[in-house]
Amino acid sequence: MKVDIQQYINSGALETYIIGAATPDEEQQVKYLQNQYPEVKYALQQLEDDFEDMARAMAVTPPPGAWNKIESELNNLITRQQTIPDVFNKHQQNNTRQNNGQQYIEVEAESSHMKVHKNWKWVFTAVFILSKVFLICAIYFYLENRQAQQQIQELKQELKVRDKG
Amino acid sequence: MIQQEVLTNTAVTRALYDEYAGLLLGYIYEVVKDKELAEQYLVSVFNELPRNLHQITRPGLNTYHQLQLLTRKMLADYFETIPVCKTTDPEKNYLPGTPNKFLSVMTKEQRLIFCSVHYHGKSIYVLAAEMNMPEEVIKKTLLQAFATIRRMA
Repeated sequence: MKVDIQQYINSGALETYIIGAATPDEEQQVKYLQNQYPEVKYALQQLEDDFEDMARAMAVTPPPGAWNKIESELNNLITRQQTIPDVFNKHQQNNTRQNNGQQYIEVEAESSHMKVHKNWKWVFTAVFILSKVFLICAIYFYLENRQAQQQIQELKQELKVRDKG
Repeated sequence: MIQQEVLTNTAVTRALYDEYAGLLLGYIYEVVKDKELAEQYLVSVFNELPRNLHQITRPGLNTYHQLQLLTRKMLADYFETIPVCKTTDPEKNYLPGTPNKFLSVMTKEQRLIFCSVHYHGKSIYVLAAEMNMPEEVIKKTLLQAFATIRRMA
């Protein structure tokens, strides 16, 4: 990459980078050039200092409760970390592998839940209602049958008494 | 081990908060112009911080610049809701909420470009299209705006 460094510094590319409006390609170029050319690095440091000085002049003291809110969220993070079971931690460690210095975490669906189409809701409802109807019928016929059996027994006993008489 | 790391992250986050929270809140307030909302965004930025600590505290990088970029990222959705950054009427509320000595000494064009990019989160490409100007000219004007900031700082 052959670049007229002074022209590059005077192009506004560094200011665009500092303010956060550079494209990813422009960002890469700035990072590359600051490593290659001390004058770019120096100009960038100057701009960073100017940017910070401006922010310092415009600073607003945060309200007293702001840190407590942040700390509370960070503490929640610690609690969440503590409540993760060891089994999950081991599993997570097993799923973490090294590759060219970068870490990848294998994401695997392990939910025990099953997804079904909404239409099945009506089928399940119908099955539920029918099961209740059958249950009521079964109880009714059972009681009817028991009553009939009792009547038969009573009649048999009556007949026996008559025969003896 | 993990708990120790989280505790360390909390300590580092606290140190960064002590040093830079005021600077970031000043910037956020200039963008949202509402103290309560600005505080909410500040809390969001510092809640997001532990996930970005490695990048932000990397040696050789300006910490404030990295925090500012993270804040800008967090404000991305809000930027979409801000109307155009006009500079013709200084009484109106579209410019930063507090008296800004840096903007006040910029030329009208520098002010418009700096305000649009810094406080309204516009990209150079979009701004160039809106102003019907080449991107190079926008960048040059931004350079001049920074030169003005340097003179004032």
